[in-house]
Amino acid sequence: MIEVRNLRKAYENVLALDDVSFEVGEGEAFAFLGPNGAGKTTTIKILMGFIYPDLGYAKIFGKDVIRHGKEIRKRIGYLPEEMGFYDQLSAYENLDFYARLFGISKAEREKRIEELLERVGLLERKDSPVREFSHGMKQRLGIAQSLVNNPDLLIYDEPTSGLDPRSSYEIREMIKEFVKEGKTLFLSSHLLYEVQQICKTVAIINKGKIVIKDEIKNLSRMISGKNIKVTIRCLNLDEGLVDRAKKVKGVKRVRIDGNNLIAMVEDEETIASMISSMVKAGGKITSVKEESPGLEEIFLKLTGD
Amino acid sequence: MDIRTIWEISRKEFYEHLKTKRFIIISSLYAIVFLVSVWILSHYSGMMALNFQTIISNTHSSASIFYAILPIALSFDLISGEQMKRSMYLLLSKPVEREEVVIGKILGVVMVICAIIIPVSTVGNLIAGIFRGFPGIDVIGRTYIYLVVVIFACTCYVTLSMLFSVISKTSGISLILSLIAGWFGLNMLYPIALMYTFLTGNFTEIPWYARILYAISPSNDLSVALNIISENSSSVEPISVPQSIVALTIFFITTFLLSVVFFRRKELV
Repeated sequence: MIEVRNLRKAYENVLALDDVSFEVGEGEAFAFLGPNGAGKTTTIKILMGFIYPDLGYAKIFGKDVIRHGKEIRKRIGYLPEEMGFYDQLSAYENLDFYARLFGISKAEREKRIEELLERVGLLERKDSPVREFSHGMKQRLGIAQSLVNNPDLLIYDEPTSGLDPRSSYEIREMIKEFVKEGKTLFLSSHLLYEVQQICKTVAIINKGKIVIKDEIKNLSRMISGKNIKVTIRCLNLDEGLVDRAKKVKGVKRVRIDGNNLIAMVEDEETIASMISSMVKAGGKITSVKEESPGLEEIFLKLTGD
Repeated sequence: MDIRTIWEISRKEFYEHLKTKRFIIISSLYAIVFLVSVWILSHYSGMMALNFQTIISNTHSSASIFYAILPIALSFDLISGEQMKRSMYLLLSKPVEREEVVIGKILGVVMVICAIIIPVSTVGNLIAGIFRGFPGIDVIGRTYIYLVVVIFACTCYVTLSMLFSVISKTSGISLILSLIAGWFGLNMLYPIALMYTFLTGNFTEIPWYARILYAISPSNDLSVALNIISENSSSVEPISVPQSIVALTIFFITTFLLSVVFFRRKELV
């Protein structure tokens, strides 16, 4: 759905993007992760046609973003990091204007705008001028405007930036729903937990270069050297059970912490075998927790920060 | 280019401007100046032997500053303002071309200008007609032809401000450029050219370059076009009415095309 090849962009003497390439498939929840100033927003601005690359190209729906920008934008919902509305107009009027630009009929517009305002919790304030809105309310309105054309692709740039924890949570939940509905998501963020909650695939960008792109779970494996750390809580943990666990093929290291057996194992098959073996020996297992390295760990390791 | 998109942008621009304080203040001032002027001239027209055409012509002349200030005030931040408050990013994320944005915005402001100038002028005509008697349809027709030229001159100031708005990073710079370079600066060119001619000592008639510099200013063209209302005007202008219309047309085309070209190339960083 998105194809970016060898993008390069410099602002005066600063190289913002250096040979950036990646793809995003249809229906994918893709995270574009990087520290502030890494080149995330620059990439998005090129995708949206706000700025032009010095080298390389970007395609969305198989079409070049510069030559077919208008056509492409008919199927995109965009939420910028910082956005402004027409303050003199009400929330409804703002959405109505954007819907008109998509050529949506009056009846359809009225229905869709009411639905969207209800979905983002602004229906009661639909006639209030946007200048009276708080940052959180504007962000919700931003979400609503990004959905006004029922887009196939959502491009969200730091959607929870500057929001209080409750608003951030609500917006994250909304984005998760969009992904469940089958929309393709391109989420730019510097918040690791946000990315981990919403997306399956991540590209990490640092200093204008893509450091890595893969599924989050694969990245975890790669960083931990193909080992999985597993914590098994067993009510009657004793030496016999620990010995049984140690004998399972693929178990590398085992240690005990109270009622917890903590082991480093090769793969998920090994975890299943270990549990089976312990249960057969009379072990009363109450929980099993697989601990892959978090995105934070991956991020720090890959960006070297 | 999509006419529907241009219409939607101009429509939004029109309604948004009607709600702004600056429009309400400047248009109210214009209405007061115009109507008070036409009333005073009509009231004392017997004493000064003024006919309908002269009253309307002098009223437009006294309100002429608004034909520059009103369009500049409404359009100096058309692009830079939207960029500063970041609504431009949402607008351009929709299926619109940049030239549609430029045309739609210009059209929206011109519609706002029409919404104030045409009714106020019509009321002015009525006041003058009540005091001095209504003239023939040809005279009234000429006042409306002049009004078309007024709106065209205002459009020239809109496209000029649009150009400054496109190339400026902030609305403040755009406003300063529009007022100083666009309005005051253009009016200064002709006197400077005349002064140069005097100082070089070869002044026999107004030289061609001075005529061109005179024609560059839309407000000069507008004062020449006042001859449309009063056919037998005694004022001697450096250019004729048709030349002033041609000058306005060239001014409009140039500033409009430059606005489109610069905005298409502009990077919204």
